[in-house]
Amino acid sequence: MSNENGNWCLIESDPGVFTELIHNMGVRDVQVEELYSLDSDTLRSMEPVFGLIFLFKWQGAALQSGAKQNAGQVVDNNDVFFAQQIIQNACATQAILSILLNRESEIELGETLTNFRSFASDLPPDMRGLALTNCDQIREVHNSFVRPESFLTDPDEPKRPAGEDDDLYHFISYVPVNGRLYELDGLRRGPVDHGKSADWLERVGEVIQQRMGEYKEGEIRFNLMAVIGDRRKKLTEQISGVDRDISVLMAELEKLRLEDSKDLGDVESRIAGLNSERAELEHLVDLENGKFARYQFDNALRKLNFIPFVYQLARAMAEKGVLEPAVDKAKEKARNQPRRQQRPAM
Amino acid sequence: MATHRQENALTFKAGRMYRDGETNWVRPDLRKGECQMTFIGSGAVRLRWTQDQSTVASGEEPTRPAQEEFVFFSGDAVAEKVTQSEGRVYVIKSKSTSTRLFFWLQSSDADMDYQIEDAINAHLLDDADRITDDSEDDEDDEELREALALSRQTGEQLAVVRETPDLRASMLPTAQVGGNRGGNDVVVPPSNGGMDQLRQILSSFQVPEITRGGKSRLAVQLGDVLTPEHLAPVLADPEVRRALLPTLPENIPRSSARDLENIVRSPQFQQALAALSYLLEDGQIAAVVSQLGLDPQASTSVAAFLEAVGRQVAKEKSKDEDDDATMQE
Repeated sequence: MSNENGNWCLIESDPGVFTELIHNMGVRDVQVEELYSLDSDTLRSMEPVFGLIFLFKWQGAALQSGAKQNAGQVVDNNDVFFAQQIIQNACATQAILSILLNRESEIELGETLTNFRSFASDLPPDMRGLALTNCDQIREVHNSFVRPESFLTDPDEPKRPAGEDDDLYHFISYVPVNGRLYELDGLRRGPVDHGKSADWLERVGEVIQQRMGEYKEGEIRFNLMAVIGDRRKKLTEQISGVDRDISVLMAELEKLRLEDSKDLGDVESRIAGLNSERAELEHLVDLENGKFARYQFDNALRKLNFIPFVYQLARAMAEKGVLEPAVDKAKEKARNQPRRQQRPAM
Repeated sequence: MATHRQENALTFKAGRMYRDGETNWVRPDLRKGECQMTFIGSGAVRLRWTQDQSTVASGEEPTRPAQEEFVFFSGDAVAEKVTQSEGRVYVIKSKSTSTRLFFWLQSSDADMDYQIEDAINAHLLDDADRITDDSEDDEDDEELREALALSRQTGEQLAVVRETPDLRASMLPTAQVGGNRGGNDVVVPPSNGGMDQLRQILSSFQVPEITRGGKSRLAVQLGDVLTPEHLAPVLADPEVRRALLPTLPENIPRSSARDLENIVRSPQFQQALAALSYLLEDGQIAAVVSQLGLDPQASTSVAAFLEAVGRQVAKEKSKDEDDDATMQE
C-alpha cells in the first residue's frame, strides 16, 4: 500500500452501510439488501436488481484468487467496466462501483461517479483500480465510516499495522452487461464471462451456488447482497398505480349505479381487492421507513466517538455508588475466566 | 558503568520471572537477586537486575544472564501486581511496546510490597517534584540519546530495552530497542532443579494470551462493567440522561430511558467498548484520558480508568460538601 493512495478504512459489510455509501457518493434511488435466498423468485421480487455482491471472509490462512477454477472465461471486453483491486480495504466501495458503473444507463450516478466513469473508461483495468484509490471524493465517502477509535490513539503511538490481524475479506460482483452475465473479481485480470442469458437472475443463482459448493463447510463465511432500486420509490409508484385502478373502477361503479345495473358485486369486490393490495403496499412502505430509521441509528453510532458517552456513564455509575462493586465483580470475573475470547473490533 | 546519585536510586530484592518459551506461562527463576532503579538523564530510568551470586546452583549451566538492564522513558511504563498469581508477583508494563517484565519480590516483609510498588511507579513516572536530576553526561546518557533519536526517527515512542555489553551474547538477541515484537518477554528455557520446591511458594501463572498488538485478554473489560443490567437503573434518572445528551448524535432518538437502553444494547456500543478496552489496556489513549481530567494512572488499564473515574467523582463530591459547609458558616 503506497502513501499516495491514502488510507482506506475497513468497512462493515452491512446493507445499511452500503446503502449510505451509495447515497453519499451522489447516486439516487439505489439501495442494498442482504439476501438470504438465491431463488429467482426472491430476486425478482426485488426488481430492479442491478447486481449482486458476493462477499466472503476466509477462515483459512491465505487469500487466494479463484482458489478453484469455476466456470467462465476471463475475457477482454471493453463493454464491461472492470477495475482491478489495488488495495484491500477499498473492497466495499469497489464492489459497489463494479455494479453501478456497469448499469449507468439505468442509474442516476450523480456527478462524482459520472466524472469518474468517463475519466477511467479509457484506462486499462489496473490503472482504473489506481484511479479509484486516488479519487478523493470517493475515498472521503468511504472513509466517513472509519471507526472513530482509530483517531483516539496518541499521535506518537505506533499504529497497529493494518491487515496483519484483520480478517481477510474478498468480494465478487455479478452484473449483467448486454445480455451476458459477468463476474467481476478485482483479483483477476479481467471480467469472467458466464455466458449469454435471457434471465440473468436465474443464472446468477446457479453460478453462486456452484461457487459456494466448492468450499468445504466452515472454510468461508459469506454474505450476499443485492444492489437494487429504491424500494420506497417503487412501492409509491405501485400505490399510485393501484389508486388509478381504483378510480377507474369507482367511475365504472358510479356508471353502473346510474344505469341501475345489478352487476355491482363484481366491481365492488375488485375494488375491495385493490384496497387490501394498497394496504399491503402501505405496510411495506412502513417497513422500509423503519428499516431506514434503523440504518440511520446504526450508522450514527458506527461513526460516534463513544469515549465521552462511556465516561459519563461511568461517572453516573460512580455517583450512584454502583461503579466500584461492578468493577470488583468484573475483576473477579476476569480472574476466573482466563481464556475468555475477546478481539478488538477496529 | 557510570556512577549515579545513590539517593535517587531505588533498591529492592526481587527475582525474575520469564515467559516459558512461546507459551503464555510465566515461570519463576529461582535465583535471588536485587533490582536497582536509577535515573540516568534524558527523562529515563534504568532498571538493573543483578543476581545474588550466593544463589548460583553449583554445576548448573547458567542459562540466564546474571545481570539485565532495561531503560524506560518517564511515564512509559507502569508496575502492577499480577493478580493471576497467588505469589508476590509484579509486572512492569511498557505502554508503548509489548515489553512485559515479571518480578517476584523477595524481601522478608511481604506487607511492604505495595510500598515497593508505589516506589517503582514513582521512579517510572520520574516525579520531578520529588527527585531532581542533574543531567550527568555519562556514556549511558549518550547511548540513550542515540536510542531516543533512533526511536523518534522510526516514528515510535519506545522503551529502550538493552543489556549490559558483557551479556550481549547471551540474551535478548533482537530486543535492543523494543518495538512491537509482540508478546516478547525474555524468552529463555525454564531452569531445572529446585523448581518444584519453589512452585509450592510461587506457582506459575498464566499470562493473557498476547495478541499481535501485545494485549491482555485477562483484564477487566468495559463491557463487563457497563452492562445493560448495571446501566438500566442509572439511565432511569432524568438527570443522568441530561448529562448524556450532548455525548450522542442529534439525528437519533436519545432522550428517553428506552432510547438509551437501545443504545447501550446496540452492537456498535458493544464493539466500541471492546475497542476502548483494548486501547486502554494497551495504554494507547493516554492523551484522551488525561483530557478528561483523570490522573495518569487511568490510562494504564480498564480497571485503572474506571477506578480513576470513581476517585474523580468522590473528590468532586467531597469538594462540593466542603463548599457547602463553607457556605453554611
